[in-house]
Amino acid sequence: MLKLAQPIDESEDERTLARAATGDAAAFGSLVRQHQSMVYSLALRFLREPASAEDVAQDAFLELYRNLDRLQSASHVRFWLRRVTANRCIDRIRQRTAHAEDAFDEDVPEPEAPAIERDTLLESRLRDLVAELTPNARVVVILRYQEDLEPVEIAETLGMPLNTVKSHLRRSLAALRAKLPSEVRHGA
Amino acid sequence: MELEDELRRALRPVDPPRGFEQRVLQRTVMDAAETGATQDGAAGSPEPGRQRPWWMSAMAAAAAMLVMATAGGLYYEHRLERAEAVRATNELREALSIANQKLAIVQERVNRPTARESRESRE
Repeated sequence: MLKLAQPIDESEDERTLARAATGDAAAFGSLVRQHQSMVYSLALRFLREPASAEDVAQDAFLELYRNLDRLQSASHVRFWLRRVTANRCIDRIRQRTAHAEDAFDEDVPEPEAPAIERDTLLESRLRDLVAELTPNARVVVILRYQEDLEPVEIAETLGMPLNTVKSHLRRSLAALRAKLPSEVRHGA
Repeated sequence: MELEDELRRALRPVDPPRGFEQRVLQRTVMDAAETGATQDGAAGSPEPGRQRPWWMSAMAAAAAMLVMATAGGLYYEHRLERAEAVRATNELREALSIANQKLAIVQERVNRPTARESRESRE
């Protein structure tokens, strides 16, 4: 859960935020280090291109830097970064003219492979399939399973109705199950 | 094997490429320098009323001075090269002129009839 990932010493984070807002570069660097994994991963899982993901992540932190004095708390920073990154990802994907076509070929038989390699392949396949979801559904799934957010938190982050979030999750899981090998669909 | 567990595994966070933090900090410095080029609080400024820290103003000023010094140096170098090229052209033109004069003298001497030829022509 998100709550487990929250910093232990909240007051220290508040002090870091306050120092960063006054222009302390070291404090801002500390904020970047604290959130960079979340921001970059969100962009990478959404865009599937490391260079584009870094662009979006850098933009998100630059926007954070410009808005530091408007953020009241460390938890607000995390919430704000999630929302900005998600919106920037959706904007970027909508700007792309070319659409990645379905890379999933159902006729290809599953290769026999050791468990670890099969897991790696499965993870890669899952990331490909998530990348094929519509932008809104994709960001909902990523926030749910990367950030472990509850549907209500996702709705708040994206400014989306709760029922829409739940609907995206339900349909996305059904679509993923339909395209995955049977042992994952039904459990091994 | 549950799909949701697999999704959590597949979508687990990863670290950004090395140097990410430095690149972000560089962009904030560049952004501060760009913002410094416009007036504080002017329309289009991302943060009207926000005070820039002194070190960002100093870096912006240093960057501007570096750019101006580099541009001035390049211009001076360009002017020197141009003057050198003009001087070389003039020298070449002068050398060609002298060579031309020498050739004219030589040609005149070659064309001038010798004493023997003059005698023979008189006879």
